[in-house]
Amino acid sequence: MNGVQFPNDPAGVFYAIPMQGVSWAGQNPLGEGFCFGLESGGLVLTDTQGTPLGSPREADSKEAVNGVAFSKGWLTVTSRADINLIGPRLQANQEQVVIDGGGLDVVVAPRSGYFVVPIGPAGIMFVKPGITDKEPVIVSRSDKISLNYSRVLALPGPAEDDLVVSAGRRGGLGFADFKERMRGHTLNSVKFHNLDLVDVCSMGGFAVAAAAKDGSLVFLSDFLTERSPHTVKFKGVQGTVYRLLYAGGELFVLTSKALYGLFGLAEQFLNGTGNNLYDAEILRFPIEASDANVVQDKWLLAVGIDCVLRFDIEKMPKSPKEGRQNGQWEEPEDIRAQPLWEESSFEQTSGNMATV
Amino acid sequence: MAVHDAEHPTRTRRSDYRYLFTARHHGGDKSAAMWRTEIARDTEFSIFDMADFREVADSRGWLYGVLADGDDLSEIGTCDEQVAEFQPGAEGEPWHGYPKWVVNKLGPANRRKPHCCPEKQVFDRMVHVTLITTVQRKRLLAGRHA
Repeated sequence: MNGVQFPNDPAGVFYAIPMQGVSWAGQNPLGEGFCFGLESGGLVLTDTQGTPLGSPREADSKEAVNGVAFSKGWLTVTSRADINLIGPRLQANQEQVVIDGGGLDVVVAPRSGYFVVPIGPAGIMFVKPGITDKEPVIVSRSDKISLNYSRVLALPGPAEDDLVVSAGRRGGLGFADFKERMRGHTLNSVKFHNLDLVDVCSMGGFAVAAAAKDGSLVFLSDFLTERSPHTVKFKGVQGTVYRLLYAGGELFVLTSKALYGLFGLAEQFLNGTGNNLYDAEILRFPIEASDANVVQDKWLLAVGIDCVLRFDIEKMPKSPKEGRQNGQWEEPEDIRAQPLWEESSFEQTSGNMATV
Repeated sequence: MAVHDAEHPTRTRRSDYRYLFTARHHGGDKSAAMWRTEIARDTEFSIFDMADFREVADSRGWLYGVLADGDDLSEIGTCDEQVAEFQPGAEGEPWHGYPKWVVNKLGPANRRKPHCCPEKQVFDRMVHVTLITTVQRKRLLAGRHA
């Protein structure tokens, strides 16, 4: 599959925003437009054409940004070295709190507003916006279930709680609830022999999809109740998987080889129209990118070598029904990976780790 | 799996360094970084030898290496680490190495770590000597798998 190349067009499907040293690209946490995290630790806010809105914000850590999130007036920027909380907004003489320890990403729990940071084998960190050096940082991990927490997503739960789903590498997927001031919680997990799960995304409600490093995909229509996930693999998706994203009703996989759109797959799964026999039109975009994020369900931003690659999801040619077939239809192999479910206490530890 | 420290029979081709397989990093200490059992001793030494040969060092002179698997990087550690860190022994003693977690571990607020995850210059050097690609450098700099 050679893939599709679109012209570089600021008004078209694809636009390469020139910018050196970007390590993360996503939504502007303070409004419309984008935010680019830099290898130097700084942040650049831009409009949707990539035009900077003011000067870059320099950072203390000087480490490559790998996550940015905003909650209750506080901005959290993660890197492999530390977690920086900046409040109340990007202003001069702003308050800043630094947690000495690296994070792999950061998302906001929708109900509590807490920042949720995966920190690898050490667990998941929950940080209250506006934390001071007098308040403890909460870290949850299980002694029984061994997950390498690499990516997380946080969803509103049914009982005024937050539900955190994490990709835990060979340990599988982890599911836990979270509430402010809760004393302990439970970790449920599902793992599969030979699947190294590196990313997970929400497809609405409690439906999630996860991706293994080798391109295998795991689907759960409702992670609260379903116990028989579907596991498939497309031969057309090649390379080491970096990200799995859901946007505009479609799934996208970024690998070391390309960005792949798996058009039609999520719809079949969510509507049950595939009868467990799915297919997808795989559109391959031959790009070199290290990370990607979705902005407002419209833009897909991929971090290129010396630019940010912006895709307009709405303008992507998606299926023959629209009169254009750019991709290749493929029925995935049903790999029938056997799930192994486990349940364990998700032990919370806390400590004063923040420096103001 | 080593249960005792054992020295590799040969030395590195560039610097004539000796290398020690430590029990601590081969299952002897569950709290320590651990090499995967699939990584043979000769493979482990080859990573060290290449790190020395290509002079992939940080500001302290400690060496770093990776294990290529085609276009990808192999996991070498039990926590999915892909980078190995090698540190010198005391005067006259051999070097030893272990899988290096690319994200700093949590520490007390009053003690900042001067060195923990590999320095940027390490990954820049790896790109320069074609051990990793530019995209892999970006991934590792962000603490992600490559």
